[in-house]
Amino acid sequence: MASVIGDRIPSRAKLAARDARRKLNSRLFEVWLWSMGVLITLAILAVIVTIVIKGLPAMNWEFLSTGPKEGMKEGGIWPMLRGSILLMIGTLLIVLPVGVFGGVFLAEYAGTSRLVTLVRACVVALAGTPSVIYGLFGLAVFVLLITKHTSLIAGCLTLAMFALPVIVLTTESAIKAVPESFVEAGVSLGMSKWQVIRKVILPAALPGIVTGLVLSTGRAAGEAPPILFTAGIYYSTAKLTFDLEMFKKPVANLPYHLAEGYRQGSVIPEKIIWGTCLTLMLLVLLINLAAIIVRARARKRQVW
Amino acid sequence: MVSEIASRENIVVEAKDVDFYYGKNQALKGVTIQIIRNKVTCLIGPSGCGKSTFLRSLNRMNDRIAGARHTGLIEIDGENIYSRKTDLMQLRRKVGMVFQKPNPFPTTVYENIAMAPRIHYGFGERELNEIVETALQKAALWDEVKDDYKRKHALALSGGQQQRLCIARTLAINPEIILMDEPCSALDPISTYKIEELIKELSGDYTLIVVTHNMHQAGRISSHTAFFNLGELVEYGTTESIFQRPAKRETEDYVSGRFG
Repeated sequence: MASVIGDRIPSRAKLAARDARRKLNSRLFEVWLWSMGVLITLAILAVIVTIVIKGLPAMNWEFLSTGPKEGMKEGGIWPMLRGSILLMIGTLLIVLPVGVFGGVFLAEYAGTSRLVTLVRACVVALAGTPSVIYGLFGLAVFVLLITKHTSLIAGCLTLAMFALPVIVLTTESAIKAVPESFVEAGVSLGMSKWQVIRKVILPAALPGIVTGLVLSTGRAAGEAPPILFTAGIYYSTAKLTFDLEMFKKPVANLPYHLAEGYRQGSVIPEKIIWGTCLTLMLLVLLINLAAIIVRARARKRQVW
Repeated sequence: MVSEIASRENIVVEAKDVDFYYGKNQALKGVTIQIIRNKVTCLIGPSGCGKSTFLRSLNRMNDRIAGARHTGLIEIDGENIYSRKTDLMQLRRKVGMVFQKPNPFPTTVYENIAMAPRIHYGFGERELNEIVETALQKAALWDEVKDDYKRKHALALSGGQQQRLCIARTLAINPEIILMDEPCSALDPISTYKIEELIKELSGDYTLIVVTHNMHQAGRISSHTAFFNLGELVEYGTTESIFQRPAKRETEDYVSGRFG
């Protein structure tokens, strides 16, 4: 026995003490992880609970479905909610083709040249760029060059710029995660490169792509800085018409309303500000929920 | 090397002095071989001997590997498949492939088979229905899936069924040659037996080129066997002669199980 270790083997007592210490260390680490987990959960809960408690008194159907009254002292936030939804839809329409096919390009066509490496590094850097920078960029480019004043289209374009890098990167990684064996099968059946992408790669990567798309758009919808200078209007009584003119006009929206409303805190009652806050949070949560459902349903079918 | 070859028409694949490199690494050295139409030819040899590389150069799957290049000539039906005029979609319509690990698409059994003929030939629903059924029958999978192949998810099939589905999928584009890269190595013995029976049945209508680790399998299914070692084609002939009267010591050592 113990021929490899020989008589260097420690005494039974020493071994027992050592084993006890190892178990204790393991337990201690577990406790540490649990406390960190609880801490994170508490932090998130604190935010949610605060907003729900403070925002709930203002929340009712009328608050969501009517406009402000009495110079914002009363009434609801429908124009802002509608504006946020419009901004989100517009943003989604822009990022869907550009972001997804940008990701396809990076994953399948770009290769590994030095230029592409540089481009990819830039996309990663852009994904971490503060959103206010996009706001100023949007002001300089989309507002001053296209509409000369804040507008829905300038806001959508700016939010799209903000959301694009993350969508490109998530699309690229979703595509790269498609098993090579599927791609080989497509190639061996004589599919063209585009057919392999359309019939094999995109369907398999779809859950990941949609998740990135939705989460990133939802995140953009909650950002105030990008639309502060590009889309926002504090409050407008002008009736919204659903036509092409709509895109050229400024649009009231939730983040802007919050930012301005807080600055002018004395005008808008606190109750309405918290109600707006809760509405924005619910809107973003709702979008994230959609992404979670899409992913969960796709996971069930994904057997590889 | 194969003295039994009767006429030029019987040769479907002809390789002349093929060298193959992955970057600086040479995988094939001067491979010259003539493969006979509508027979089963097995490529055997130890890991890393170049048999898979050779197989994958026949439908140009190696094109996908960065830094892969070759010299020499590979002809199929007398046409250089590495010529500038070669259309890869046409080549792969003619030369189908079955992989080591079954790799059906994550969709229905039906769609797995219908996809390629729809793409290549533009068939409609009615023709595709017939093609899918025939392909499943030819691949000996029909009886097991006939009730629900339009709904059943391909990945819900067993490994052996998946591999027969992959065979059906390649049959559906009407290839002349079917390349198989160790098609049974991920399967249990019963599934392996079924695939081997299927291979024997398909020979006569198709040229099958099968890479295998398993010498006994080569003995059971093939009419001709090529033994590769260290990137060279050591010996090639009828399976009987390779196993019973190998001309080279290396071959004899391998087929008698002394190495590999």
